[in-house]
Amino acid sequence: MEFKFSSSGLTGQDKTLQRFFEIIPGLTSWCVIIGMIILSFCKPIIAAMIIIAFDLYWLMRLLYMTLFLVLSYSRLSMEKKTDWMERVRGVDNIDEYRQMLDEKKPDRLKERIVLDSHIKELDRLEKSHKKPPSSKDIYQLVIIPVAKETREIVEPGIKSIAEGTFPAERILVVIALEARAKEEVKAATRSLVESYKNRFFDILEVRHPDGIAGEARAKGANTSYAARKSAEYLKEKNIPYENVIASCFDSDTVVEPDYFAGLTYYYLTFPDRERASFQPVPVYNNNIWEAPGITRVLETGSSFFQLIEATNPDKLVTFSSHSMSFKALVEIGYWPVDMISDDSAIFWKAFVHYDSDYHVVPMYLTLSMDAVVAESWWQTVVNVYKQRRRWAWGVENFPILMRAFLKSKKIPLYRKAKHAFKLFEGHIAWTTWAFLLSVIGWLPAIFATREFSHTVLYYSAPRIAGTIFHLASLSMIVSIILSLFLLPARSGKNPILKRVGYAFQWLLIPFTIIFLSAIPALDAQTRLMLGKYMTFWVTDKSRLRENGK
Amino acid sequence: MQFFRKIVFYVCTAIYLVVCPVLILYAVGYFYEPGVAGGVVKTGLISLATAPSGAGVYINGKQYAKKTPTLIRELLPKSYDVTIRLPGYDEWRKTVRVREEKAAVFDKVILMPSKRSEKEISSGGYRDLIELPGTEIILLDGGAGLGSINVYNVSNGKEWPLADPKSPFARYAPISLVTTDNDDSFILLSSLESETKYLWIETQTDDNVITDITPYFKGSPSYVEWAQGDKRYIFSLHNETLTRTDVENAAEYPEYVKDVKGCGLFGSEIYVLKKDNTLEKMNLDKSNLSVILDDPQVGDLAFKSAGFYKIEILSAETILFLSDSGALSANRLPYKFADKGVLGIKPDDGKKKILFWTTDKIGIIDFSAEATGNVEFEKGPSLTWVYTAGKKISQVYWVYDGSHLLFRDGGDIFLISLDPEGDHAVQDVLKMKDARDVFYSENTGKLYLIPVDKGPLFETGIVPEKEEGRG
Repeated sequence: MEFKFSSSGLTGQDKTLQRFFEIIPGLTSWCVIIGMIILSFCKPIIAAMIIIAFDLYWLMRLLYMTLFLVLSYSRLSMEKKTDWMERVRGVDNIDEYRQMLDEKKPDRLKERIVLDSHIKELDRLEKSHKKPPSSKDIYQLVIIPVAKETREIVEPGIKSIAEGTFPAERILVVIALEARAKEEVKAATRSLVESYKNRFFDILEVRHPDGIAGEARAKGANTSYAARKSAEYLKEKNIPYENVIASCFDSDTVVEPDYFAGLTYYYLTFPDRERASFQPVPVYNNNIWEAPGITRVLETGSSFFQLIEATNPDKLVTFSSHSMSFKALVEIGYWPVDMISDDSAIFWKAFVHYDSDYHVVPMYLTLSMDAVVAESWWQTVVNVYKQRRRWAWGVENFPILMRAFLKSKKIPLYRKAKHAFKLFEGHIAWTTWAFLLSVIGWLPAIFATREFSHTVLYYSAPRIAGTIFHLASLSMIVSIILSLFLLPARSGKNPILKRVGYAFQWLLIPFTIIFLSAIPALDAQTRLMLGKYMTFWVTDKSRLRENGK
Repeated sequence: MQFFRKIVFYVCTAIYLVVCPVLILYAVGYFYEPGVAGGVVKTGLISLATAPSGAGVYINGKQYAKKTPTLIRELLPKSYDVTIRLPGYDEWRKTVRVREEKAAVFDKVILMPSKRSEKEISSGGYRDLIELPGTEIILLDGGAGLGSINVYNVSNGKEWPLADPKSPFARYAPISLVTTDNDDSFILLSSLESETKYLWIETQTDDNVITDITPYFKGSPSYVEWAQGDKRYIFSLHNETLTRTDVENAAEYPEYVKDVKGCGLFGSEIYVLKKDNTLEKMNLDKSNLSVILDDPQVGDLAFKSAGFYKIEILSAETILFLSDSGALSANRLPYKFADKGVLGIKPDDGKKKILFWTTDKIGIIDFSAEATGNVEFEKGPSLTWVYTAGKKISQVYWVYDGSHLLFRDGGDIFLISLDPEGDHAVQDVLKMKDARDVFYSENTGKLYLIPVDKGPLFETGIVPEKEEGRG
C-alpha cells in the first residue's frame, strides 16, 4: 500500500484522525490513573477488587514472561558456541551440508537443541524453494550515525566490525555525519575513515546537510540521507540491492565477532529475506561497570524485554540497532525523516507498505551499546529519564499506524487488530502498571472510610497483594540470576563482590519503574496528547575511565 | 517455540479466568465450608490488637493459634465469646457478633494490669496539679505562693521552679489561672496581702519569663483569651465589652467590640457572638469583618441561655458554643445539644468528634459527614451518651486515638472502652484518697496524679509504651 508514513503535512480528515489517535494513548493512561484514584476514594470496595484482579493478572503475565525469558536466554547461551561462518558456508552447499548434519549425533542436550533448530531452519528454506544468493555475493552495509560522538565512542564499534569473522572486505561502512557537528567531531570522523580505509570494502563519510525541508532534527533523517547515498554508491559498483544487508547502528554499537556471520546466516535461511528485518538482542555492556546501579538495572531490563519478545516473532517490532534487507529499505523509502522513533517506525513503515507481508526475524546474537553514564549521579538520572522518554515516544507510531490500518484494504482485520492492540496495550501498560502496583494499589486502604475498614475485603486485600508480590519475587530472583550471566567479566579488585553488589541493585526496581520508566513514558504520551511534539535529544555518550573520571 | 507459546498463553488465560473470580470471592469473605448446604458460605472476621501485645486469644473457650495482634478469619456469621488473656493483666472478654463480609474490629484493646503500680517521679510535697491544656506541661502547686510552684514536663521529665525564690513574685499566692489550648503560656491572677497582680508567664525550661501585665487589666475581666502561639494581643471582656491589649507596645483598645455575648479565637481570627445573637468573624486587627449568622430565629434557638458563650472552632465547618451555665450549641443541626450543665468539651485529634461532660454524664457528638448519612431526613451529628452513672465528673480525656475515655469522678479514675455498637465497658483504674485533679498525656500514655495531700507526683501507665509506636 502506498502510504505516507508520517504525521506531518496532513490535511483534512487525515489530520483530524491523526490528532484523534494522538490523544487516545495519553488520555487512556491518565483516565486509568486518575480513574483508579477517584474510584479508590469513592468506591474503595470496587477499587480493591479491581486491584486484586489486576495484581493477579500482573503476576500471571510476569511468570509467563519469566518462563520465556529463561527459554530465550537459554537459546542465546546455547548459540554462543555456534560457528556461524561454517553455517553460512553450509547454506551455500546445502545438500551436502544437510547430509553432514543428519549424521551428527550430539551427546549433550544443548547441542541437540541447537542442531534441531538449525535443521528446522534449513528445512524451512528448502521447502520454500526460494534459493538464497551465494554467501560470497552478500555485502554488509553498516550505517553509523554521528552527531557529537568522539572517536573514543565510535571507534570501538568500527573496530569490532573489522575484526569479526565475516570478511571485512565485503563490509561497506558509512559514517553518517551531521553537517552541524563540531569541527573536532568532523576531524575525528575523517581520521577514522583514514585509519580503517583499507580494512573494509570501503568506509565512507556522508555529511547530512542541515535544514533540509521536511526533515526534523532526527536520526532517521541522517541515516536516510546516508542510505540514499549508499544506494547510489552500490549502484555504481553494480552490487544488487537484494544481496545487501543494511544495518543501522548507534554510534556506540559494538558487535560480537560473529555478528555479521550470524546475520548473514539468518538472512540466507529466511525465505522472505527481502521482506524482513533482523533483530539482535541489545545489551549495554560497553560501560556497564561504570554506570550507576539504576542505569544497570534499567538497561538489563531492556535486554530482557527484547529476549522475551524474541520468542514471539509474529509480534516482534524492531528496536534500536538492527538489520534489514537493503532492497526493502529502498523500496519503502528509507527511514522516516520526521520521526524520532525511527527504529520501530521503519518496521511499521515496511509492514504497511507490504500489506503486512513483512517480518522480523529474532537473532540469537548480541550487540552491545553504552549504558547512560554522566559525570554526576544526578545528571545520569536526568539523562536516563530523557532516554526513556525518547523510547516511549515510539507511541508516535500509533496514530500513523491506525490511519494506515483504516485505509488498508489488504491487511487482514485480524492482523490489524492484533498489532494495534499490542502497540496500544504495550504503551498503556508502560505508563500505568508501575503506578497501579506501587501506589494506587494501596489507596483504598489509605482512603478507607469506616464502612470499608470494617469489611473482610479491607483485611484480605493487602494479604493477597502481599502473597502475589512474594510470588512475583521468584521472577525477580530469576531476573537477577540471568542478569549476572549477561554481565561482562569485571576486571580489577573483587569482581565477585561487584557482582553481588550488582544483584542488590535490583532492589532499586520500585524507584526505577516509577521515576525512570512510567513517568517518562507518561511524559511522552502527554506531550503527544497535547500536541507538544518532541525534538530529538541525542543521548549523551561518554565513557568514564577506570578511576571514575 | 511459537506453538509452545500459544499453549502456555491459553493455559495461563484459563488459570486466570478460574482463579481470579475465586480469589475475589475469597477476598470478600466467601469460603468453602463442607457440610454446609451449597458448600459456599459468606464469612466474617475478627481483628484483635491489644496494648500490650502478645496476649493469648480464646474463641468460645478454645485457644487460637496466634497471639495478638491477629486476625481470626473465615468465621461463620454468628456470635462468639472472645477472651484475651495475658499474665499480669485482667482478662478481657466480649461477645462478638460476626456478620457476613464484615470485620469486627477491636484494634485498640487496653489490657488492665491486675495490680496497678504507681511510680514516684517527683518527690516534692504538692497540693495540686494544674494542666496547661493541649501541652505536656503541668504545674505542681506546693501551696505556699508562686515560689512553691514547679513546672513539670511529662514528656522529658524535666522539673523546674515557676518563679525564682528571689523573684519579686515568689510570695504572691495564685488565685486563678487562665490558659488557652495548646499554649505553654498562661495568665495567673495572684495576690499578696491586698495587692493583686496579673502575671503573664511563659514556661521555658529552667527559665520561665514572668511579665507583670496588671496595668493592662482595669477591673476584673470575666473572660480573657489570646490566640494560640500569638502573644501580641490579649482579649478581655469587661461588662459585655471586649478590650484588646497589645502586650508588646503596651497599647490598649477599650471597647474594641461592644455588646459581646460570646467570643473565641481561631488562628488569626476572632469570632464574636453579639447580644442580638448575630455571629461575626474578623481578623485580630478587626479587618475582614464578615457576618456568619444573622438569623434571629436560629440565633434564638441556639443561644437561648443567658451568660457568656465560649466559642470553640472545631473545624472550618463546625463551631461550638459553651455557655457559663453549661448550654452547648453548635452551628450544625439541631444547633442545641445540651440546655445546661456541660462542664467541659474536648475535641478528638481528628477534630470530627467532641466529648463533653456534665457532673453525671459523658457524651460524644460525632460531626463527621458519615453521621448525617444519605437519608431522606437528615440526622445531623450523632450524640451518644457513653456514661450516665457519674456523681461528680470533673475531668475527661480521649485515650488511645479516641478508642477510650479516661475520666475522674470524684476521687475515682475510670477507663471507658468505646464500642461502635454502644456496648461501652467501664473499668476501674484507681481510687484516690482525695478528689484532686489529675493529668493524662496521650503522648506518654500515662496518668499523672498526686494521690495524697502535700505528697509527691506519681505516674501510672494507662496505655503500655510499646503499643503507642512512640520513639
